[in-house]
Amino acid sequence: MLEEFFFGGLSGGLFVIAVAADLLGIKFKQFEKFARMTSYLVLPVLALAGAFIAFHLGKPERGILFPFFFKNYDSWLVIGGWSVGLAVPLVATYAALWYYKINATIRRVLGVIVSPILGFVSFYTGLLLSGAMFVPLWSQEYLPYLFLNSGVLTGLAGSGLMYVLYQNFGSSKSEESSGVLRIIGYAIIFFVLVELFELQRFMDHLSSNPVKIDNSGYFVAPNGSVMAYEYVTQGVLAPWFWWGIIGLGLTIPLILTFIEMIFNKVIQPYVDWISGVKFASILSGGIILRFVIVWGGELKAPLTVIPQLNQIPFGG
Amino acid sequence: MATTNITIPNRSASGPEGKHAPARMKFYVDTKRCIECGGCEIACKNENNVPPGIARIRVVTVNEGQPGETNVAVPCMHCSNAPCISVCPVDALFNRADGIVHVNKETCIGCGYCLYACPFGAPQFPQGSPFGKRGVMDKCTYCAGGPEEAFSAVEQQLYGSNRIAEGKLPMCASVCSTKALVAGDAEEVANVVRYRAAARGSGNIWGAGTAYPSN
Repeated sequence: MLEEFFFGGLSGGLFVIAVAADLLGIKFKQFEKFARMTSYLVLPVLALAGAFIAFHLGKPERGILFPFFFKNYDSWLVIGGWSVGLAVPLVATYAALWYYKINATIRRVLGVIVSPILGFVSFYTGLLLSGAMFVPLWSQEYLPYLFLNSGVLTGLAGSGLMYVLYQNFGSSKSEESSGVLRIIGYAIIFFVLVELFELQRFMDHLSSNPVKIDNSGYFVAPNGSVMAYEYVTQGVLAPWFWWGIIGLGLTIPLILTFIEMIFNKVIQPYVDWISGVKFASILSGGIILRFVIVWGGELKAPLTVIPQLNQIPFGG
Repeated sequence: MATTNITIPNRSASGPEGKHAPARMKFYVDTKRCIECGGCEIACKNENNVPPGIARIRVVTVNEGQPGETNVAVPCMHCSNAPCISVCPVDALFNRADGIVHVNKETCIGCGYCLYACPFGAPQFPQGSPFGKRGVMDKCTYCAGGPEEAFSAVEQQLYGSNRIAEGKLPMCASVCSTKALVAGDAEEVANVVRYRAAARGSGNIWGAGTAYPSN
């Protein structure tokens, strides 16, 4: 399940980055190649997410024919399924406009219009999980924003990694690449800090023992959130959370970005390698974030409804 | 596609609407009576030809080997406002008029969303081929078959027996040797619970300490 969340979020982030770079390319020409390459990457990643979804369905043929089977429009899976289904032709059109170099204005307008849909694909992966109301970790208030930010961050890393690889192995290296990587570095600092802030707020929220209201009118027990907090930060998932998400996914990229900026001249011969490690680190952290959140869902809160409260008292 | 032909039992208790109101079928699990014999699990499998790897009802032991060890038989609780129904993208899950939560295996896509939504872990998925490995969802039918025509070969094959249409209670509750598992119309079940609680007197409610910690 975490594969489709990761690749779905990544595709959304990649598209947003591609359009942002396309718009930057109006003034800064060095972004054009980066934007074009990123736009080509979105469709295969989105297709990969779709393939993983189909792979995990019990009846893939019914999932692929979702317009005929999806009926419950209160379910996030239906809303998300349609947004992914809608995104595929639009992303393909955007990539085709790049490939055939048809009309830059039409392409940019399409990109700006489609960006919210792809952004929603990243956002929706969090909403999908929060539909399972008896899982205290799957919070509707925090997960969608966390996944949206992570989608953009991994999108930056994915596009950056491909750009670095292409510069080193795919074509002659241009002087423009350091400028593009520097801007990506600034963006990474911003989104890493946002994700750290979001994670801190999310964990604070869980540890503050909130009562999660579910859609059936029952209430998940008050200590469910604390149990989830301890499960993630102190239980079996703690190494993944601290070393994987916080360490590998956020802290190391942040440090490497600062090193790139401060010791720019010293590390110049190795800058692509350092960037490559940074991008791979962010992508690994993105996968581990989904892993922790998905498997954290194994913990369901004790109920305040049957069977707990309807048991016969001891002594009988 | 499935055809809906459901037999709904009427209330037998003397409620406000008498025998004209449809029953609200419920399970009650008495943890003080369950002896973990597993009879309900065997009876369910035998009655419904449940495929390997699926447990429509299972006996869970809480605090095993410690003071206060408790056994709980956990079938689908057929929630009145079921979370699985609200998340199912294809409306494969639905409430019958008598409250039984049915699954339509001919529309289920096997996404597993219900598995995460259910607080009891009732939805089950068989492990099969690598592609479409989950299969379609299987769960306790309350021995009420499925949305197919009652007693049809398709219903028997997909869902198992339809004891409710025969005027009988679910097999698990029928064979429970200590009557720890009580099934039937909510009014009747409530009467049983009330009687047992009164006979036992007051005390701690099992699970309340977990749900509402004192600190």
